[in-house]
Amino acid sequence: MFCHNAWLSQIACVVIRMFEVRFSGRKVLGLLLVVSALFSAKLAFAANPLYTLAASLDAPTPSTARPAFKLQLPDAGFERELKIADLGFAEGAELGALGGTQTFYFPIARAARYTGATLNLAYEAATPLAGQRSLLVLVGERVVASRKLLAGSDAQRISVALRAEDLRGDFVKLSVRYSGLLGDQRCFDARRANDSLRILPDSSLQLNVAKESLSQVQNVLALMPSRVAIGMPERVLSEAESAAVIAAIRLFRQRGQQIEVLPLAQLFAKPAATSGSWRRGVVAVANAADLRSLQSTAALPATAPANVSSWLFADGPGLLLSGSDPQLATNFLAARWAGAGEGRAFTVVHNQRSALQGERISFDQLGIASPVLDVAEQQSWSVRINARDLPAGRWPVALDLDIGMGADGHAQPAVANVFLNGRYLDGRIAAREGITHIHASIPRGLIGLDNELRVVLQRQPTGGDCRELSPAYPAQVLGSSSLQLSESATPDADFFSLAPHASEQLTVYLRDSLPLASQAQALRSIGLAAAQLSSAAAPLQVKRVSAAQIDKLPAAFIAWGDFDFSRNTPPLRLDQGKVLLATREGRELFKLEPGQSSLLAQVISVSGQAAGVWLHASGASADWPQPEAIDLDRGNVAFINQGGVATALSTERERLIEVRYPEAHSWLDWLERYRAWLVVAAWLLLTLVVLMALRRMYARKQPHDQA
Amino acid sequence: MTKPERLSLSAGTPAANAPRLGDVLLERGLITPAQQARALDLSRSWRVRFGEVVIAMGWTKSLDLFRTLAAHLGAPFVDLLAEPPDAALLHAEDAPQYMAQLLIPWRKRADGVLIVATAAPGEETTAFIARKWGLDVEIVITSKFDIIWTIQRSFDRIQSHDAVHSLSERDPLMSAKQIITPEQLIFIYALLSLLALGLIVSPVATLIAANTIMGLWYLGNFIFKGLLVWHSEQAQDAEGDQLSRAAQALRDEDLPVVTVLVPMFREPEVLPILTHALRNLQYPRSKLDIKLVLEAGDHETIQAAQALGLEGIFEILRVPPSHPQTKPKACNYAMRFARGEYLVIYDAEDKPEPDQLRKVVAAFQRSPANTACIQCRLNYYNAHENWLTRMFTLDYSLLFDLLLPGLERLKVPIPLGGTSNHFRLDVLRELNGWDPFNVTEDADLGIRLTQKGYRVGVIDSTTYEEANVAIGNWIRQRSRWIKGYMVTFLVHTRRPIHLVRATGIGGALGFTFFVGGTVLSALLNPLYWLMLLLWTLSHASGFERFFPPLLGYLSLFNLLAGNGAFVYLSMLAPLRRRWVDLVPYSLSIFAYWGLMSVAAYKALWQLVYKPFYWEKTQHGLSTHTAAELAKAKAAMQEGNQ
Repeated sequence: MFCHNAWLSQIACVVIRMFEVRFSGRKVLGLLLVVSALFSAKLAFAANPLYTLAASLDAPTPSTARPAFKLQLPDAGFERELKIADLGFAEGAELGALGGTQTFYFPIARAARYTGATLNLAYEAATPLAGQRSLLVLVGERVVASRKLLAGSDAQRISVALRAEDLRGDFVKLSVRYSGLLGDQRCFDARRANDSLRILPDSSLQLNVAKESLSQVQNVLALMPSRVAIGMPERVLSEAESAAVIAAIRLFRQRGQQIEVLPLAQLFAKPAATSGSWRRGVVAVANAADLRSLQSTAALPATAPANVSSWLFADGPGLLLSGSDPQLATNFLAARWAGAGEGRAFTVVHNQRSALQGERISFDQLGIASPVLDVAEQQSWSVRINARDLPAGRWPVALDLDIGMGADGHAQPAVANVFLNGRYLDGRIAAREGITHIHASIPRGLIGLDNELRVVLQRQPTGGDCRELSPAYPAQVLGSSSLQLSESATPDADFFSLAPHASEQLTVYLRDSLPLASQAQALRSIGLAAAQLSSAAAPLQVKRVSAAQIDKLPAAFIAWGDFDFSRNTPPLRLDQGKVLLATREGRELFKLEPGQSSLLAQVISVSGQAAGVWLHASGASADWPQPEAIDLDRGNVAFINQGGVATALSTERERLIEVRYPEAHSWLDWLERYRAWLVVAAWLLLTLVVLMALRRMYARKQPHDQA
Repeated sequence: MTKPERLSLSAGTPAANAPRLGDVLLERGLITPAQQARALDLSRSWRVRFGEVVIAMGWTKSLDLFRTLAAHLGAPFVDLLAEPPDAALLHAEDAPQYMAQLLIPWRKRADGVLIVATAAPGEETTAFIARKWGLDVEIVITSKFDIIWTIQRSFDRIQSHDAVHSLSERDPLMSAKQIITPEQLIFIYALLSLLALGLIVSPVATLIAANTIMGLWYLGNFIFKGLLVWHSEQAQDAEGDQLSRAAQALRDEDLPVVTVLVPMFREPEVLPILTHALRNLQYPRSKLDIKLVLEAGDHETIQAAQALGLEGIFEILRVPPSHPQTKPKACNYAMRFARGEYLVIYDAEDKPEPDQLRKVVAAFQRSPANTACIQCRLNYYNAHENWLTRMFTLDYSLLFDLLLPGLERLKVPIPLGGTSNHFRLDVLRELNGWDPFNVTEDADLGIRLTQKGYRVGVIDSTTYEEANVAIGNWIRQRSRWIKGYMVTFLVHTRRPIHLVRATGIGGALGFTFFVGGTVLSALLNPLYWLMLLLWTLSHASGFERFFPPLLGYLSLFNLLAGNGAFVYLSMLAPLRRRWVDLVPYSLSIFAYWGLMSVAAYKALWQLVYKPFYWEKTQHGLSTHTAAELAKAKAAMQEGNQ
């Protein structure tokens, strides 16, 4: 239960306590949200962030420390453009074979008021043959546009103003239906029609958000632009603040946003030009003193563990995380019950997570929901399974898939085929009645971090031609489908194998000698790695340590800096001078030299199991690679450059590439390097000895024979 | 010199009215009436001459007996040491006959009559002389030792040369004089070159291949040893009982003469143990031809042996110095003076079971005609002295109680144990005796016998020895054995096809596993242990490359099941002898294998630099040996009294 009484008193203080319980015998984990408290307005008035926010938004009071310009929202509100590229369709979407539907879900803020919305759909259509092809655009279930597609190549842009009723709920559903036929040929193989309709990635939903809506945390969170700046004060952060910065990076990176880490002051700097377009979101971690140094009117509750409040920055609205452990707020925003927090600000005092357990985990437990789709001839479902969602200490060994299919009365049964990460797992003729069960073993090594399970359902009409067009029937991959787990199937010490452990608790080690100048870059890199390997809601603990050796390593950690993991035999030795990645034939692929600006990630194992990731940057901090993402997945070593992970390999499995230390002088390296010469030398010596021995033998034999 | 009178060819037997030899000895006070009576009984029972009994029993001195005998026969007595024979009359090729008949052509008179000296006058001797030299011969009497020493002195050089070179000159392919032949060297060189090529072209694949071969080798070795134990278990007890009954049923008079060789070098202190044990043998003493084979330069042991005042059945043979100074050379030399039908070797500190010789004779009688050797079991009387002696006992129990009987049943060539192997002397001579260039001449001879078509049997009779109590001494001894196994393997694999034809595929494989496997395992074990240790302690990666899954499983099986099986087999052996307290020590056998590996590498080093060097094992270090010695001395004093 939670309460909110913020609007009337302009005070909202929601204490939210979360815990998960099992509420069904089928081990489906649920959520109970409890505890909220309401406090008196007068008592908290002076320290109320929303008061401050309101003041700064509407009529900031002049002060000696305030900036020389005025931060305020445009009266017309902000314009926010959501591109389908930001939804994960970086290359757009393509339809063909004279038919198909592509659906896009644009996330919007349920509680926001929109003063206008425009759908911009850009597409390219092509077909070599004259035919009758058309395009139908639906928002929700309402047709908003239709176009006839011409023969040859064509590129068009459709712009449609949306109605207020189209912007209800958490998403705007955009469906693009494509259909066609060729000339007079009533029946033909559509799979060979050679047509294409490509929806371009810059197709977008443009929203005009009312000014007052952007003072709500949930609205700001939901509408946050694809670029997000994480702001932090220019001082050495406390462990709790560092954890909050990393958690914020992790959260927004997992939401698909591009992250940059900036000094707090920069976020309050006067923008070059005032624009009504909201292009960059801001999430800042700061305490009251930090804010007061930038805005004299800033005031925050001093005692709360974690506060999140909407705040106005130079780029537009953003979120401010504060408190003694602001990470709690980030974790809350990442949780499934994040919508429970309402208002301009709220406080989180405690997060409690319950880990999944058992030898079997269902799709429902994993939060996988696949839609009901109509199957005419063929339909496929793509399900993503992320290792972050798996329980620690177990690994999938088999898949039990339940596919529900509606009856259509057709004599010919459908066929279901299952693919995991592009590899065929199993196929089955669908049951005529009830649910089709498919049990397939998962080969070792097939599952990585982010896995795509593809289920293809198809049925070929028996009669051919068009006389027996089979009726479509509804089908769905059911939530009762499950993964069978085993303790004995633990994967090799790859990056991804860390994910189940890191999603329970992730410890971050920093050297206390980390220079202030490198702090922002270090936290950004750690945050990007954490986004890959741990759930956004997983608790983080940052530890600044003085010693290079860590005595007792936790189950999952990320370490940054000059640590000494020699006891754990890291896959790459950084104390051996130059590191060379080369083919077995000796061709150089990658070189890492002392002093060279580089970023390296490697798995640190304990008893053969991955326990953590060691991020190590060298060279001048200004030159360290600052990629958009650090996608650590397979392998135990990753070389990272500006574009992300340039090369990742497993030193345990790799057969074609080897790691060399040209400057190292261990006898093993020496032996390997000069193997051929050593063998030849030994052979020559052997030959010499054999020749001498033979000579002696025959010399002895001659006098004997003569005798 | 007293001029001998010419005797008729019927001489050698006293006149019909002459007193009996016993009466003459009694009359001269050389024996007591009781001894006379007892000697008469024994000579009848054993079917030997009266004189042989009194000498064997030590009741009179050899010289006194032969002087009395000469007088009794009315023939002159000749002291060959004072009056040596005419060298021109002696022929080296006749030496075995001289020894067998205990005679020697002494001198020729001016009238052309040949004078022959004998220590065994009688009809048989007279007939032999007639066949050999005709009727114009005179016979004089001398002592047995005079004959032996004279022959030794006369043919010293040639006997010594034959002892060393007899095998290498007559059967060079069976001799270890040349450790490795050019063909073997080229073969090994080709193999190593192939390995080198593999290490250059594809090191991982090559090492995997080598590893696989080694893994299969280990597996074969385990299976083979398991098979041996399985077969040895079949009806062993029943056979042992039958043999015991057959041995007891033998009549003394039917027992043949057995030569006992006791080669010794610088170990005078343990001599009483063996003499005591030999006296206790349930075998007619006068049918024992015991030779203490001592190096001529080992004055200490010679003096100790002389000081013991041993009975006439004990002879001291001095082996002239020559290279190599090895036990087989000494035995070869001594073999030339052997007079028995069978020949056995005991070490100085050995304690054979009293009925062993009877059992051996019974075994020979019950065995196929081609049986040339019977191997008895060896074990230790000081098993409980320390950890090493316990482990050594487990080792020997497994070898002699379980593995060798298995080899016999599977018709695999048997590498003989160091002592208590009983040979048919004629076969031994035919095969030119032991290889003096092989430091495990016994193992080599066992294989050579099988290759030559003879059979080696194993019986349930034990000789107890002194187990090494000190690790250094043990390593010296074991390194010699392993070096000998290496040499034996090289010698007998020179003609692999011949080996297969002579012993069968099973025999050849068995030989390869038993002799080659013992050596190779000891050499390879440390490498695999080191790898395991490195892998376990350091969690070092990289080994997986050389152990693909199947090979990994094979190695794991060898490590767990194979070694487990060996530990189990080591437990079985003492259980058969009901030495239950030794069973737990089987669990520490890994440390013992570690010592084996140390010895193996020492052996390998010596194979290259000192292939013929005989690592002397020092005996008499055990406290048990001291006790045994005290017991033996007490028994001797009692006997003398």
